[in-house]
Parts: sequence; structure tokens; C-alpha cells
Amino acid sequence: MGRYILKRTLTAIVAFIGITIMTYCLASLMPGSPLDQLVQPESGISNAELAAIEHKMGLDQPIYIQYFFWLKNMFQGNFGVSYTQHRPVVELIAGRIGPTLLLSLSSMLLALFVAVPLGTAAGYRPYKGIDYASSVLAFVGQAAPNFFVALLLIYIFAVKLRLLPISGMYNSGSSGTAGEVLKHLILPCLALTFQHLGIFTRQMRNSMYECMSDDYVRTARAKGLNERTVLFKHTLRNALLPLITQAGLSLGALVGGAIITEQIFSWPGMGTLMLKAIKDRDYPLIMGITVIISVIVLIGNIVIDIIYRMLDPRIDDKV
Amino acid sequence: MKKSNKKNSSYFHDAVERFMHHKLAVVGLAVVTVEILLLVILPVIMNLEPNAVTPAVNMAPDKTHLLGTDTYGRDTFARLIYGGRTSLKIGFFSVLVQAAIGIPLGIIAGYYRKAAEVIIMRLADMFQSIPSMCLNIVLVSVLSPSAETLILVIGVMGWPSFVRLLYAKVLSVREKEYVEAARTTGTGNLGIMLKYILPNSISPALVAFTFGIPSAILTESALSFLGLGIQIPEASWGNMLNAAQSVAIISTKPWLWIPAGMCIFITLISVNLFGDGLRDALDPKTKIG
Amino acid sequence: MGERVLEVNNLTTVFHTKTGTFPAVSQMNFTLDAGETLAIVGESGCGKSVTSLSIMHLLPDRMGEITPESSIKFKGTEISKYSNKQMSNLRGNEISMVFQDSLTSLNPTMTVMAQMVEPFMVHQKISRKDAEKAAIEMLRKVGIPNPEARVKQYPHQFSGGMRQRVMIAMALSCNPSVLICDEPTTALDVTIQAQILKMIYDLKKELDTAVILITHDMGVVAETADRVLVMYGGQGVELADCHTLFTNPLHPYTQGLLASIPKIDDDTRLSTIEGMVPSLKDMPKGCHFCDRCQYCTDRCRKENPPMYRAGEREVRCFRYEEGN
Repeated sequence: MGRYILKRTLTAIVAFIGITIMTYCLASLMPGSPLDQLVQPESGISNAELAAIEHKMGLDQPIYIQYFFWLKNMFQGNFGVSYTQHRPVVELIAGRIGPTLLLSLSSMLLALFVAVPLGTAAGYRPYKGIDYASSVLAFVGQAAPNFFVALLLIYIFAVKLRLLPISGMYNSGSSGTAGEVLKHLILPCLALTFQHLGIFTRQMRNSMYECMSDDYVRTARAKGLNERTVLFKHTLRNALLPLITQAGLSLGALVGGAIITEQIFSWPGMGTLMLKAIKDRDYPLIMGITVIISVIVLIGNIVIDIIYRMLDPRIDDKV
Repeated sequence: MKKSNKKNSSYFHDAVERFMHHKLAVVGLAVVTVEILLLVILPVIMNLEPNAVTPAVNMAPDKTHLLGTDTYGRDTFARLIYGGRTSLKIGFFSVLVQAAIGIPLGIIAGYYRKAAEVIIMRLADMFQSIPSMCLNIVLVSVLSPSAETLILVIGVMGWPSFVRLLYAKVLSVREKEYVEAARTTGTGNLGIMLKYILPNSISPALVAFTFGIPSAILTESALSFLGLGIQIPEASWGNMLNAAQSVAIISTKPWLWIPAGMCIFITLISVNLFGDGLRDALDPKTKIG
Repeated sequence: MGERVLEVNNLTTVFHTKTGTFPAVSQMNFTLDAGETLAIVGESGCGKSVTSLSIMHLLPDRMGEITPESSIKFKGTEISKYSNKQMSNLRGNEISMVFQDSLTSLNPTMTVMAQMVEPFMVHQKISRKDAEKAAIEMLRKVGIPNPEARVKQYPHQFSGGMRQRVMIAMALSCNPSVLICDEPTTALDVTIQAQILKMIYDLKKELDTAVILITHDMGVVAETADRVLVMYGGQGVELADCHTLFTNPLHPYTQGLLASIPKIDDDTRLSTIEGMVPSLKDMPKGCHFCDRCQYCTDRCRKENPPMYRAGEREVRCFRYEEGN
């Protein structure tokens, strides 16, 4: 197990380096130099001073050297200073991680909590009412863009029924109790989860359906176990494995979707910060957020892989 | 040669038959076909002016404006049709870019194995493990948003799904006797890949292509919705929904955003259903029912 | 021979497929006594496995179905119409089954111990601790070395032969009256095969279990069986004691089957049965073997012969109709 985690962490580090290279290349493609932002034309800084600043920031070095500077600073927790907000990027991001994690995690968990029982029931009794219902949910879910679902939810629950808040995390002027946050969380979480709920349910249904005809299920029945034991002890665990893989694959899309969902519901997470940074062309902030979001997804993937490994003993011998 | 033709045609015939058994897939295909026909024909037979600004702003649907007008007095129906053309065009061409990158890489990874396999598949892993929406946003904003940029970005970011499906197929094809036979008769690697591997990899490529389109349309509309994709005045389904970013519009002018959202939804669900049927039809191993 | 434990009469099992409903097995009759080994032989697809799965009520969901006129009696009690719940009291307790592929037949995500204790706990209602002790004892009995340590492992960490021993240990846990072995050694090396067969034989003697051995291997039949039921096209075609069958086969199919076994001391060309096994969908209306039979008559094509008694044996062929 230790070896597995180590190996998995190493691949994640390789992926991380790839992502940082891509991000850095993107940033260097962006129009303008960081100096343009610092140096206003009327500030009267001389060319010599400019060169000194350039040298201090390492901007006179070749791009790959600059990249290593950036990487080194980043590992020391220095993501640079926001151009527009004039505060360290780390500080700006720090307060936004919590809300984004809350939104993404709750959506992932909600999708799993609905998909597992529904998909299990559908796969266990295929071509019956509940199976058709889960198919409809799956196809509708897959085809429903989260921003459209978000607008529909606002239309129904906030405008027509006036049940739920549609903006922010707290009531205005309130420091926020857990119940209040929960109430604000419902709509964004539903909007973000809907698509994955469909995909997960379908995956669970299909793997359950396939597992039910596996030989070990027949063996379990041949032992005289009752159907409940056959289902919950023998089949479910095996049927969960493909769903866990799917959850790993969907993690990136889920966090990506959170950016849009946060924007619609003015959720104070990294997504809203990111879109503001894009609008302001605040490069250090954009790069910082991209890197942090990627790290979150990579760590999430490692966690999912470890869960998979705990459920499937065969993996140990494969790596 | 004749014999193999016969085999191909019976495979094709079986595939068509399997597809037709899949009733929902047939419905999906029908809806997509009708939709494409409408998008092509309506601008010719109707007088649609998607960008014409008129004084009749924020009108509810009536006879002259089937779906009302927006805040600039532009006809929502005309914008819906032209927006659909844009969205479908971007969906199709960006998957074409994905295929152009993904098919060769998938074949190379599966055929050569070893280092090529490790590098390409790890790269695919990496692309799939990063939140692509995040990089998409950065990319389109760097490259200045336009239809061409969207096609390029979605194409470059979306190739791993092609690689995965192709790679799996090539792994099995490369072990086939006829590939071994070709190798013993002195056919080079390139020849084997083009003559034997590629034709046998068409069905996974078709499946990846079909499922790629809804996902590309989804990405395009999400970016346009955020104002980072197709720029106004040009219409796309995504940026039509962008108009609904205030509660006032959401509640009082549903004709501005519900039709565009429904169009995305119907297109996506139809193509997905079609793709499901296509996958089952092309792969006889996966049983239907 | 001992008490009659199993009596199958007119067993017919149909399969519902997309293209229609077909009998996979029809008009099966046989009996099984305590301590006896009955081999059911035939080519793949002849209905051997369907017969055993029918007895166990383990036919694939929604596809296989035992017809109402069938009768399966276990120790005199009719079980063919038992509910799933009633059957689960018998399965693994009174009637056990060992399957061919031990890798897929054991649960890959559960330890051997977790799978071994289940029959004890379900049928003997003993505590987990006692069940674990019993499981280790049972594994020792089937020849698993160091069972205390090995039970903590997963099936994929066992060799094929060892896995099959685990399967057999699991099946024999509750000392069943009937053990059905469906091609138990087909997936194994020849040397391991012999070990496993010997072990089944020894345990059968010790426990006085009746065994139904399903196989396509006539060599295995000759070594282990007391009586043999030959199946063809979903029906039993010949039932005889092992020695008689090998020395004097009556049914043309049995004759062909035996003639196609290679013998070391025989230089004559290996004979084969002409033609192909018909699929269940286009089974001949008359005798199922008629298309491949050298003695075929018009009557054979029109009527399916019943099982005729010929002394102690039974054969499904008009050539042995009384008076012939």
C-alpha cells in the first residue's frame, strides 16, 4: 500500500510539472509584460531603473530559467502579487479555497449518494420501472448544461417558489451560521451535481447489471446465501469499482463546472475569483488559481485511487 | 477481395440492423437530422436578421417575432437559428481537430507500445486529470475569443478521448494474424498502420467523434455563457443564455433564455442517444438488452 | 448403494431469447443414490450445465425457466417448484456445486476466509469464531498447506489447483448429500487434474456424498464414475453403469463418442462423428441425433424416441424398441 501511494504520488508530481509548464507557457503568451502593469507611462521611471527591476524579477533570463524561478517561488508559497488588487496572490486565494472545496465536495458526495442506491436498484432489476427512470435521469443529466440547470433552478426555486437564496454564501450583513451556508449551498450544489448524477447513475447501473451475471454471484447463491447478502456483500463492492474510476475521471469536470456555477450564484470561491482575474487580465492571480485548482484535482485523484485500491486487492499485484 | 467485401457489407448490414433496433437512437438521429435541415434551410426561406437592432425591444413572442426580441430589439428566433449554426459548426470542427490529433497518437501508442505508449498515455492521463475548463478559460482569454479560437482550444484540449478508444482497439488489432502476415511479407510499419490498423480503428473513431460533439458544444456554450466564447453581436446558444444573468430577465423574459437552453439540451440528448446506438451497433460484443 | 437422494423426472428447461423460446434441456430422467458418482457427459452445449443449474435453481435470471411438468425430487421431496428462499436452505447445505472456473467463481474482492465462513454461518448458525475454525479445518482436509495463513489471502493469490480445492472445501463445508461438480478440472493441468479428482473421490467416500460429475472428458469418466449419463442435444441418450457403457455402448452417438477417443495401443485411424452438433434453435423434430446417425430411418426424422429400457440400462434409440 505504501509503495502504491508513493508511485501514485510520483505520477501526480509529473502531471503537476506538466500543468505548471503549460500554465507558464500560456502566461508568457499573454499580451504585454508584467512590467506594463507596474510601470505607468507617467511614473517617470528611467530605462536603467526599469532594467534593474527587470533583472530583479528575473525577466532578462531565458524563459526556462524564469519558469524555474517561478516554480521555486511557488514552492516557497510565493505566487506573486495581484496586479489589480495589490495583495499577495496566496492571500487572495486562501480565503477562496474553502468555499470551492465545500461546493465541489458536496456535489460529488450528493452525486454518489444518489447514484449508488439508484444505480444498484436499476441494475439489479433491469428493464423495469426504476431502470427506465434511471436511464431517463442519466440521459437528461448528461445533456443538461450546468449553467442552464442553474438558471432553471433559480427560476423555479428562487423566483417562482421563493424558497431559497440564489446569491453568495451568507445573508448580507450576517457572519453566517452553518444552517445559513447550507441553505445557500443547495441550489449551486444541485446545479453542479446534476450532470454527474446522471453519468454516475448510469455507470452504477451498468456495472451492477454486469456484476449480477458474474460467476462469483452464482457461487454465492450456490452457497445458500440470501439475496440480500448476495447483493450487498458480494456484488455491490465489485460493482462500485467502475463507479470509483468514473468519479476520478469526472473530478476535473466537476471542479471546472464549479467555476461556472460559482459565477452564476456569486459563490465566493476560486471560480468567481478566476473569472474576475481573467476580466482584469491579472496574470499572477490567474496562474496561481490554475495551479491551485490543478493541485486540488490531482490530490482528489490520488485519494480516489487509494479508495479504489482499498476495495480491490488485485491492484496491489498489478503495479 | 470479393470475399472480404461480402464480409464488410454483411457487417455493415448487421450494424444497421442493430442500430435500427435501438429505437431511442433512431429518434436521436431523426431529431439531429431535422435540426440540421432546419438550421440550413430556414435562413434561406425565411427573412432572418439575427443582428438587426430594432426599436421593438424586449417584446414577448408574437406573430412577427416568434420568440420575441431581446434588449436590443433583435429577433430571438433568428438569433436562435444563427446561434445554432455557430454552435454546431464549432462542435463539429473542434472534434475534427481532436480526431486529427487523437487518431494518429492513439494508433502510434497502440502500435509501437513501449516509450511511445508511456509518453502518449501519460500525457492523455494528465490532460484528463486537469480541470480542462480552467485551462480553456485561460486559453481563450489569451488567444482572444472567436469561433476559430474556440475550435482550436476545444480541439487541442479534447484529444485524449480519441486516444483512449483508438489505443484500446489498436492493441487488439495489432495482434491479428493479418498484421503478422503483412509484417512477414515485408510491409513497413507505416504501411501496416495505414492499410490495416487505421481501417480497423474506424468504429471506435466514429464513436469517439459522435460523443465528442455534444461535449464540444457543451464547452463552447459554457465559455460563451461566461462571455469568453462567441462574442456579441454574433449569436451562439451559449451567449444567448448569457443575457439571463439577472434575476429580472430570468423571471420576466423567459423567451430570451429558455429556447436557447432547450436547444442545447435537445441537441445534446439526441446526439448522445445516437452515439449510444452507434456504439452498440458497431461493437457486436456489447449486447443490447 | 445407499438411499435415493435425487430423482429427476421429465426435466425440461426452456430459455427465453430475443428470437424465441427454446428448450435447452428436455425430458431428462435420472436418479442418484447416496455415495454414488454419476457422470454426465457430452459435447459443450449439450445441456449438461443447464441440467445441474436447473437442479440448483441457479439458471440465469429472466432467461432460463424450468417447465411445470418437470419433477426434481430431493430425498423424496419435490423441489422443482421451490421458491428462491426455500432453495437457499438446500443450496450449500444439502446440495452443493463446484464450478469450472475457480478464478471467476470466487469473489475477487473478498478474502478466502470471508468466503469460506459463509456456508457455516448461514446453515449451521454457528459463531464467526467457530466458523473460522471449521473453515481452516475444511481447507486442511482438501490439502491446502498452512491454511491458517492462507485464508487471509485473496483468490488471485492462489494457484488454479489450490483455488479449485478452496471451491470444493466450500462446497463440502456443510457435508451435503449431493455434490455437483461442473467440469471441475477442465481448467487445470493434467497432473493437478488427477490430484483434484482423487481428492473428490476420497472425500466422497469419507462423507458418503453422492456426486454428479459433469465433464466432456471420457478419460475422467472412466476413472471416477459409477454410472454414466450421455447427453446429446439437450437430452439424455444413454444411461448405463460405467463399465458396461465403455465395453458395450448402445446408442450410435455413444459409439461414435467412444470411437473418437485416441488409444495408444491402437493404430487404426481415429474416427470422428460426421456433421455438427445442431444448435438449440434448429434441433431436428425427430431424434436429435438423426442428421449425424448412420442408422437413421424415416421414423427417426419424424419422431423423437423415448428412453427405452434395455436391462439395467436406458437408451434413446428406436433400434432398441422392445421386440427389436
